[in-house]
Amino acid sequence: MPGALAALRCGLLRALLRAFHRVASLGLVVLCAAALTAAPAARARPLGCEQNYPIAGTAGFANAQAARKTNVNTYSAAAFAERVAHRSGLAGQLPVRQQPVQGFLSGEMNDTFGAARVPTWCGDTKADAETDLTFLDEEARLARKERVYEQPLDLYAFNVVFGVGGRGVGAFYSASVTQSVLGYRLWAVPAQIINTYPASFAPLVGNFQRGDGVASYAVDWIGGGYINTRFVGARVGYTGARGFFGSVDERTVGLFGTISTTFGSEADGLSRDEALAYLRAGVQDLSLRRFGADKLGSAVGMTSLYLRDLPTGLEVVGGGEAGRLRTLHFEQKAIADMIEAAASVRTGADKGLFDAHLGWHTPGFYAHRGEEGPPSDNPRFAGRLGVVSLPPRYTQGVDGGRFFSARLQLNNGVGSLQVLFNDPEQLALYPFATNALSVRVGMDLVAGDR
Amino acid sequence: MSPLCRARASALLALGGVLSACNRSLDEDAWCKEAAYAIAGRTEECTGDGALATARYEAFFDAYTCVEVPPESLADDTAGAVAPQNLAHCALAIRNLPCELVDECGDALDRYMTASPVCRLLVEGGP
Repeated sequence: MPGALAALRCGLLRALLRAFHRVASLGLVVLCAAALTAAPAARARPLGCEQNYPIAGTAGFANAQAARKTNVNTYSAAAFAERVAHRSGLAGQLPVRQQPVQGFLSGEMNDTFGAARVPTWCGDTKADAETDLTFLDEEARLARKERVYEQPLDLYAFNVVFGVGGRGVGAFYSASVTQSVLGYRLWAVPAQIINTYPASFAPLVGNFQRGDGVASYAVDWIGGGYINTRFVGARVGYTGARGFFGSVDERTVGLFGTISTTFGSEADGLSRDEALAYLRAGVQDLSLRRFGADKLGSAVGMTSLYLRDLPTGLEVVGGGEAGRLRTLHFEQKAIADMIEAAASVRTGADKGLFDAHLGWHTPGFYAHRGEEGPPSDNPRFAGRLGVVSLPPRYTQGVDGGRFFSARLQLNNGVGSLQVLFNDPEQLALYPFATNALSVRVGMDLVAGDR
Repeated sequence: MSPLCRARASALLALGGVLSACNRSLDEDAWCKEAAYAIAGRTEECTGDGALATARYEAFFDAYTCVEVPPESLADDTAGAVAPQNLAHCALAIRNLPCELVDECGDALDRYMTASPVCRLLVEGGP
């Protein structure tokens, strides 16, 4: 009977993977078709414009400025250290005697395409452009007549963490290089490759931020340490660019708290909301299996309930809550080791549902608390679909509404790939980035003996 | 072609699609909407009151009709002989109004529209 059940489960899994492959292929074809059908419209715009100027005063320009600031916060070295903590061993939950003596290296590349759309003026064109063109064909001549158009702002981030850990204590180094680029999409991959140098040697390169108009380049790094015990773990770090980062997690129930603050004051050009860059606290991955209820724990999965508080990038002179986004999150992962559900609500003046999602994942995608082992080399997949609800935010040119949302994730123990479309995490950070596509590629290498 | 090859080919095509889909035309009422966004946005920034910002945004479209400006228009054929890129000055001026002036303007939309001479080129009618 258990054999028949396993065979049925295996068959179901294969069928689901086949179905996923077909749906994914179809989706990619639709995406290609959309891109190709958009091509004739694109020809009407100045493809060869050499001097383009984002137009200040527009919502798109303001969004682009907010996006580059948020990009630095989100993918700062501190935030990345927290994000990869579990998978790299920074926050291992094994009993101390089983913790490995190890070295670890994690890298992640993030690209968000179309985070903002910025009205732009092409400075190449003139009223008498017909006599001043290097392009001779009629189509190019007409194209150059369209002198204002929207360009997409893309956000790139390259992060790296490496360190060494003993049994229960260790040190880590985390660095990030973030960029925002207007209308030059072919730069997406080469930029990330080039950024491995400043990310790896940030203390030598130095912390700096540079922003002209809507384009920016920032390097950030932290040095930190961690302790792991059977009952509690903690990570702290100092970063010259962003301030202080601290995170504590309790190992039985899953209580946790993470904070990232920025040193400085309004005199340094920081807004009040920027000073507290990030706060997250609650319960994460509570599992009944941890308390001996194996069958019930496997059936209901793991529960997370936490509060998150982020700056919205909106500077509110007169006080009020518009400068922050506070959301309460509920997640149930690994239900029957296959299903996940998530929902969150906004708190405060514009309270309401923020997102609701339902997902499916391959068995073993999430490890229960206290049962983490070496990463498996087998491909693991998770996908989820849902809706994100945004309130109007006119200062950012957002009329609000409900948006379809999807996230696909593929892991194989060493590498991971995520594709996010209208992801709630992204829209919480960039509310104007509706219908933007994000791609994350990650890599984890762990060396050591257990 | 094997499923893996098909998937790779699809992925490459999709990547090409994402990379190529770049610029987009501006809507013909884009500059007028920017003025409305600027009034609502500055209201929200100065008062922290999202509901008041929404009310002023909606009142703007009740009070005014947007003048359409084709994105390919040149200075000669734009209302008032102002080049399209310079029409953004209206939103820029409103977004830079000091909060004391925003308090003074209150719900009087016409007062915001005096922030720049080009504002009146973007709308017809008025409260």
